[in-house]
Amino acid sequence: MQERDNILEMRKIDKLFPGVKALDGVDFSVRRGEVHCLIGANGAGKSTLMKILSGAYVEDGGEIIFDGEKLKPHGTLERKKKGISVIYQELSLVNELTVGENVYINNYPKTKLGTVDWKEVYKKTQEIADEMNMQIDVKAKVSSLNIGQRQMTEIMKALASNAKLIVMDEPSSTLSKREFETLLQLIKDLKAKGITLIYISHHLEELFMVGDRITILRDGKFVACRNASEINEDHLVEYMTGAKVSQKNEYTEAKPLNDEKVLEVKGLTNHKVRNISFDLHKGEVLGLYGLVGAGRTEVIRSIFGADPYEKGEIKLHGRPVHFRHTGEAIANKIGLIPENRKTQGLVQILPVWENMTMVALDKCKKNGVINYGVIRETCELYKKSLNVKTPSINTVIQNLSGGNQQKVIIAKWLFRDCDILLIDEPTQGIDVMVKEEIYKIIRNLADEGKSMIVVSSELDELLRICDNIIVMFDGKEVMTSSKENFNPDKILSVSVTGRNES
Amino acid sequence: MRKEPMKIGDLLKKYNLLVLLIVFIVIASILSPNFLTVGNVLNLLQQASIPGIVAIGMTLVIIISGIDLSVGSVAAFAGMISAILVSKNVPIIIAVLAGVVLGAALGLVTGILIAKFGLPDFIASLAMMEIARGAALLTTQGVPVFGLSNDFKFIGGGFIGKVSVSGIIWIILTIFFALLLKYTSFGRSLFAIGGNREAATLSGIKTTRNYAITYVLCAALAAFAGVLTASWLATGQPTAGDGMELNAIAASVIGGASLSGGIGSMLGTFGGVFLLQIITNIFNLVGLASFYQQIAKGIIIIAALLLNRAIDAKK
Repeated sequence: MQERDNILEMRKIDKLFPGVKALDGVDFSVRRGEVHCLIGANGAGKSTLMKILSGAYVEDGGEIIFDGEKLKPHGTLERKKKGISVIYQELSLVNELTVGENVYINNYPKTKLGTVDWKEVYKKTQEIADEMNMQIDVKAKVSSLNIGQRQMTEIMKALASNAKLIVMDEPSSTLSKREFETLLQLIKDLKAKGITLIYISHHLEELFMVGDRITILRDGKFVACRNASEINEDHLVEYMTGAKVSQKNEYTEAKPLNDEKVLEVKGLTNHKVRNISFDLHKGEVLGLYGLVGAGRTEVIRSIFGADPYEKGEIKLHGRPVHFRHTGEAIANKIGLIPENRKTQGLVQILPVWENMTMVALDKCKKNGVINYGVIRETCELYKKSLNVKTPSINTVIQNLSGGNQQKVIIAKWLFRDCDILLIDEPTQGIDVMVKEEIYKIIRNLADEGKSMIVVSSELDELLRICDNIIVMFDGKEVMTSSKENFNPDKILSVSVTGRNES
Repeated sequence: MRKEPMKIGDLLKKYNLLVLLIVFIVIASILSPNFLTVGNVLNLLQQASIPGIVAIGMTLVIIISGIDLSVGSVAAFAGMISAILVSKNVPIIIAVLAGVVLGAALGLVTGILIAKFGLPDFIASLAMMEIARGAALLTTQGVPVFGLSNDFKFIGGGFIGKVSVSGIIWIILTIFFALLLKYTSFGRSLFAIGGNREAATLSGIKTTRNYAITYVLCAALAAFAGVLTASWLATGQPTAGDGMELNAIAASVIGGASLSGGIGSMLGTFGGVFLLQIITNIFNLVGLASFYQQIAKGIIIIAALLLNRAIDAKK
């Protein structure tokens, strides 16, 4: 029997994929009206479990009881009707339609004639927005909204279909701090309405802010379910990795910087950036911190020649340069690891080797033609040295986990023998274990004398790997801090307020 | 979640085309004892060579996730120019080159419009299709050019021993472009561009330039096919090449190319062209009217693609 106060019980869920047991007898239960966090490293089975819940996958074993009813395997639409809504990381909105249209897209209110009742569409959407205290124009096209507002639209869509249980998959990963605060409020409001939430995130600290209980999965198995008030981050990491990890605030020691300046940027100004200046020294890791949209990405893209800039002077090894396209930057031994792995970093349908050799294919040539023996040797070498977990270098890269994809991208620039690496969000969507490896790789590269600019939304990450951190706000530099006086609270508050009162 | 590598699916896909080819060869030999004769096979090679050369270029364009609807018209225009020059006793080599260079120039225009100015491939090449067709008709006010020299007839209609010259050219071009795709940076860059143009740009690949070059190659190959057609028919025919683009697209796709880009192979396309030609050949051998042929061809294309789909979904 289902416990009375459980809205959802998933019992002994099994799911097999060719060669992998993705879920192995997983138990997962959610109480009515709570915010339940689901956490686990990549590949732990969170997404698989949620896809089974949403009806996208069919379980190979076990049973699902929702709202007192045993669910038969059926499609996502059926599950939606039962009151289960899943909001995926990649939101599923139609960009060219308005908020109202998206909210009622599979259930338009009709007039007596059977045509869409547009007045009613917007009226009802507005009602939902008001009820949830959302600041949103219901007649705006989705393409004109920011990520936070798009998420609101998704939530309204769920509410319009009378969702009882809403699953949020990594809702915060693309939000700015301010948008995240709105999301927190929204979650509270949803809870107040009696809606149950399942919240999935890699950001451990968030779980304690939003969650009542936390369920941890590891390698497709249930590990533990705890009240959020009873445990701390270290416990969580321990559950997730199955091993005690060393204290996470283990920053490397500050060491004096090499005098040699490899890159000097003076007064860089483009459509998003105002008058940014800094020096990058040999072997330095320089962090760019700030809210999403503060112009961090635009700084490095301009340096790399991917975007034009209006004003400013860039010197490379003391020599003025102005790259007008990426090939010029690459020829000068600068590499860029872009923000979005899927859409900018990789060619998803191509194999590992091809992605790995994409910028340095000319180094794999003998007598002017590509030599596949050289390619194999090179790729196997990087596969080993960076510990890339892939069945083979011929595997299509979209089948690799995010962390391993990122390693392939790093390998591609190492193979090009870059002196300067511009890294945008090095570990977004990557699980804890691989994150550690990537930090190690970045620090090792710095020790080898490579210089790096790292853009990140995770302050912890920058504190760990950077020698200096520049905080940006609204396109401007508002603070620069060097390792010996890193002050997380200060950096955080400056990045949010844009004011540096010392 | 980690999936199995795609290898098996890919193999099946290649195998699939081979199976189809064998099935049709068996059907054809049952229906007509004449099918598997040396004469008929060589005949097939001759017939397939011109669409085959067009399909090579089309496959390149499809790999970069483009599409070129102008190949038929470009072929006709280039064929007309070559034929006119030959009829005016210009040396054959120059006449042929003129046709090919003209095609390349038209391809450059299409390519720049798409790659540099961002026009959609479909529309830009559609516009070029109209322009080139009009220009082809305009050259002689729509009158075919007859009376071409026997020497000119050799490249499109000649034979070395029993093997057609154009068939040999097709095979050589197929091998050349297969090697180009596999062993040069340019060739590999096409897969990157088609798979993810932004990632390719950020990897320093000259996407705009290579995109335009691909259209130049496609149009030049189409123009050459047009010259071969004029040579084969011994006539400059301004209405030649009608429907050529669709045939080439079908052959590429049957050969495993993906219209969303990043996937395609010369060997596959070669097989695809041959398959389509065998189908036509069967119907001719059993004496089926051409109207039925078209319907049957359409159905077979759908069947082949559905089969690919099914195999894809399974893996």
